[in-house]
Amino acid sequence: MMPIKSRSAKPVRTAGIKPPVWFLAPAVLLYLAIVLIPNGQGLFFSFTDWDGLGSTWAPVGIDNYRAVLSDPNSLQAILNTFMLTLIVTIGQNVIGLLLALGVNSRVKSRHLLRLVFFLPVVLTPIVAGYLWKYLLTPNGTLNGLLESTGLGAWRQNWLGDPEIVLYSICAAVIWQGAGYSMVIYLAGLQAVPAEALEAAAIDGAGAARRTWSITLPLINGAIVVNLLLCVIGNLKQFDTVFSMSEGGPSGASETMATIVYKTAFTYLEYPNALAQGAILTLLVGVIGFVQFRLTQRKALA
Amino acid sequence: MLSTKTRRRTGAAALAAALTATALAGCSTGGGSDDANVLTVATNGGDAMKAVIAAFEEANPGVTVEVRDSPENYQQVTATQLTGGTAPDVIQVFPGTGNNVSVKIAGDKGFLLDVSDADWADTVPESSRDLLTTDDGALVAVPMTFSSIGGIYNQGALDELGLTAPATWTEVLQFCTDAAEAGKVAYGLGLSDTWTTQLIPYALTATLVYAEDPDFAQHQVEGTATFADSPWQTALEQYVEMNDAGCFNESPNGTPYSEVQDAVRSGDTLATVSVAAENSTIAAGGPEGLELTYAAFPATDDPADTFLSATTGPSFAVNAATDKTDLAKEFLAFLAEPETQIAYADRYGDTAALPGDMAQDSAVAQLVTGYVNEGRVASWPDQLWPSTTVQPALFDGVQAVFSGQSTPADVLATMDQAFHE
Repeated sequence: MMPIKSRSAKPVRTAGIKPPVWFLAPAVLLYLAIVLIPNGQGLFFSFTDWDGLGSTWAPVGIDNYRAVLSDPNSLQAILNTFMLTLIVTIGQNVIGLLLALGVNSRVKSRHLLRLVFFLPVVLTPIVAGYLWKYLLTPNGTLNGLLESTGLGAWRQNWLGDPEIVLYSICAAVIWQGAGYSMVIYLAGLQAVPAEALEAAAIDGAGAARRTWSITLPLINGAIVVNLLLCVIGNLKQFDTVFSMSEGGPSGASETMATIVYKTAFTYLEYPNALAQGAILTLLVGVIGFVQFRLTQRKALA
Repeated sequence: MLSTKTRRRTGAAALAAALTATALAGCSTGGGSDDANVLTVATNGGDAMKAVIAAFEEANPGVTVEVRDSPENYQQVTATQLTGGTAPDVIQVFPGTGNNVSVKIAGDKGFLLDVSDADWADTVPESSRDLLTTDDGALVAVPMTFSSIGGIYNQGALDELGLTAPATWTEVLQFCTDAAEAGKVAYGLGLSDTWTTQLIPYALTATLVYAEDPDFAQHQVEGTATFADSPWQTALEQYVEMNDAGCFNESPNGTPYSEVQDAVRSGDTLATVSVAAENSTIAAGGPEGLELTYAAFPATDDPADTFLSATTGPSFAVNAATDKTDLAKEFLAFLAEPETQIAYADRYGDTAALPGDMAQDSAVAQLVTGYVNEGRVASWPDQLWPSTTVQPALFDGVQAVFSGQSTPADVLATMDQAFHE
């Protein structure tokens, strides 16, 4: 950073002084102790048969990885995770963008609406998950509402039906995340110059045309950020799924994160859980990187 | 997403502070204490232990008992401490196999002290002894309570309809019909909380499988018995039969257990099959004057066949690495005394394992003690399963059966496979 220069005061002589390298030591030590070493150990033990008690283990090569990748439950969880990420990313961004466009207009209640739409974000995901769980029980609020409005035929076993449960969870995740996306889009929208929109309006462009040709290209940065956060966040999705369904019924809504948890703390198969964790990390890393590269190029273009 | 990140940073900061503190304090302060008169005890949640330690401190002037409680992640914390040699002097252990802090896993690896020669060792009932003994034949833990599974009935709601708790399988199905005619749910079932999936199978197999062959699990290990080719099949079929007979609430898979608790309290649901400690939990949150009846859950048409699915609950063992062996052994002997047992069990909300000649006031405890004394109890099967994946296979399997995706035969085949993993 440049020091602030003031003409009246003497120039501050910090520009030439570099902080000593050992200033980094506390941060590096902490990072080593908390992140790098445990993760390294985790990766190491994913190639062993360590059972979590005592210090005896033997190397088993890639057996754990082979076991995980040939386990239909793990594969189902990976598939579920991709489904959930896809649905939530699309849903949350479309809804978030529409909300942002709405509250960016000159609606009188726009400040109140912004607050209301952002409220779910403030809730802890696990709390939101439990709330939804009770709304979606067979005799819960949603089914009651459908019944009382004459839509009883639409009643569903939202979290008990293996065909539906994943979509119910997606809906809850979108409900909670849409406000977050909205805020990022709103920040982008506020930076769109009014002159450009006015000029377009004078040229005879309608609202839809203005949005498509002027607003959207100008908020490209917000779109990139939102998509990236959404994809990474949902590949790791755990809280909402676990609080709503524990991954059930019988694995129908298992995600990679819930299956890592279960393998470690229910099945007590630590090395397999470590292998799953490594696979999850790798997937998130690779997908995040590729997505970042692709969208960055697009944003620059 | 922002919140997660912030939380993680705060967590990291807290951890850093904790690490620094540990580093400053040196490595000597693990689970044990340097003070020869301080005995540390690891517990897994609940305050029952805290209710009894005062009596021990009174009987041993100068001695302090420190409870180190881990309500969450107890197994991970304790396994790590055992591995690192920093576990407390006395630790709560789990009977049988099942996890790293269980008798037959930690005990077999030599982490728990052999207390076979203790005076109280002879008082341990037959049904608990095996679960608390390592494969080398060393008794390592003192049992504190019996937990059991039975039907919990809302007596007021039953009286209103002129019904009684069924004592045979035919009566169970009739009970369901009668309840349905009165517009009530007979047995509440909240399978959305997966641990509840096993309750009825355990209750039924106590009579159908384990009463007939107490060494069934051993026979499975030897390869002479399987789930699929045993009355486990009958048990799961009876579970399905109950569902077909309309015994349960609509779509159990989507129903949380807490909703079942509320429905039993209100009397909209007449009963549920659950663990005995639920009697006090349900009663505590219920209306004034709620009266619950606890009964063994029948599986056949002869009430004399019925076994109670009961097992040894929290148990305590001495850490083999402690340097306070004598004090720790003395503490275990204290835990085995009838007065301690009953004080502990009353606070815990279940039945004392070693009540001696004393009796507990609660009706639940009296029922359970009756079955124990008659030898009509069968342990929870999972406590002798060699693999940790059998139970999850049952959880998933039951949910799949209730969503029509699987059959009892498929579930048992998967469990057999998991058993030999």
